[in-house]
Amino acid sequence: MKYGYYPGCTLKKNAASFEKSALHVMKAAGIEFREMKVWNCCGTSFGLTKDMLIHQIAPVRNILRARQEGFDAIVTLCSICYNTLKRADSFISSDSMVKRRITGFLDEYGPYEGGFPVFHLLEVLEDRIGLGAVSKLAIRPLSGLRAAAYYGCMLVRPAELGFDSMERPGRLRRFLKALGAEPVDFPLSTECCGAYHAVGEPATAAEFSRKIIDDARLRGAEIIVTGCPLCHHNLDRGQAEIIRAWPGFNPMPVMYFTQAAALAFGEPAAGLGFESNFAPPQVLLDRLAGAAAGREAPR
Amino acid sequence: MQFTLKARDLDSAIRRKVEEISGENVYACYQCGKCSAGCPSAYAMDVIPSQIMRFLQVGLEEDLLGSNTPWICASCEICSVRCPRGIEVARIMEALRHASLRKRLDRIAIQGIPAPAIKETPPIALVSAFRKMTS
Ligand code: SF4
Ligand code: SF4
Repeated sequence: MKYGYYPGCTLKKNAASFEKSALHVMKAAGIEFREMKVWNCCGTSFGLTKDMLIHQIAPVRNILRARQEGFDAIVTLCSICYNTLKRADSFISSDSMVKRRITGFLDEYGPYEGGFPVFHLLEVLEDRIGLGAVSKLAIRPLSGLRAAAYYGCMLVRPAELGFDSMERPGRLRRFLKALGAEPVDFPLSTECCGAYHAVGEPATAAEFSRKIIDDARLRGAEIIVTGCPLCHHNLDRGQAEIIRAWPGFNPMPVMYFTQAAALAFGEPAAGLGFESNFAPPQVLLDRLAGAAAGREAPR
Repeated sequence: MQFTLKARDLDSAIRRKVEEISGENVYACYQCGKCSAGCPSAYAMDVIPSQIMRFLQVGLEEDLLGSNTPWICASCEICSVRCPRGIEVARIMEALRHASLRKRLDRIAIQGIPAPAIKETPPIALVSAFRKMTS
């Protein structure tokens, strides 16, 4: 299957470390992909109004471009791009009048019935590559790392379009296990990070994130792993705001599942963009360095 | 004392508008409170989501339009996926935002955001915030 990699805006800016690590992981896993030549904003976030079809143009245009470029499916990294593209397609597919109007507006791409596959990278890694193969690639397993798998909203809601169970998803937990880590379950793994409140209501966003981090810590996590650049922003950079409100708050490292995988696959930490973290994942890096020193020590 | 209450006395322009924009039926709500129970923003709302539903049913237009609730809502959609009556409450919140935005009553001023904050904030947050809070 030829995947069209759809990055979305944030991967080219604040979440460059997500993209870089993901490209490494996709290559290592042998996924046949290429970045789409032309793409626009996914249309974020999915328009919840029923009467404003204009919101569906941006996501559907991306899908039609992927088809035009000859791809069999789209693969995304950002959970919000994933949600917006997949939902827009489902929305136009389920209503013939809507479909006619949208595809009519986008006539340059020809007729379209809907149903072009959109995947999140975690789905491709688990369902196409397989977690057994992922484990084999993990030559430097994240042994003993107590990692909280954090999904946020847009990978699991709404139920019929989410990539896993909406109340108790397991994809990220299983992936972390394949990397050798000890995934930590925590009840707030699908609670909202504060989302776009980062812009107008930073104190509210910080309160959302604080509850999530404290909950993960309470269950024994020493790091939080996510697949969403907005969650990463709120949970990591948002800690500056949390500390303003809660001076005793202890920082908690947050990283992308692709950074975790790249490390496990043997990539040096130096190229993975941790320097832009508010709370660097020192606990993990020290442990990996310790394990490496142990391996090299003379017997 | 006799008191007669007719459905049409409780109906309101805001109820019709919200249903038109959202495509949802506010009368389907039976006030179980599940949407409010799971809402991560409820602690900061002046009117919690299940109350919003009730206010729509009984036409409390001013209380609805004056409430901070749709602006505190983070569109996380917990309420939508958990409602036992299948109401997408997040669409109701979006419709209430649009009831103001379509009158150009913006919640945030883009010009008011300091340049360093724009640089630091991911585009996904900026674009979503502008989508939700500006016309
Ligand atoms: S969960 Fe649904 S039925 Fe229950 S109060 Fe909320 S909107 Fe009404
Ligand atoms: S979508 Fe809004 S109202 Fe519904 S649970 Fe989330 S924050 Fe609360």
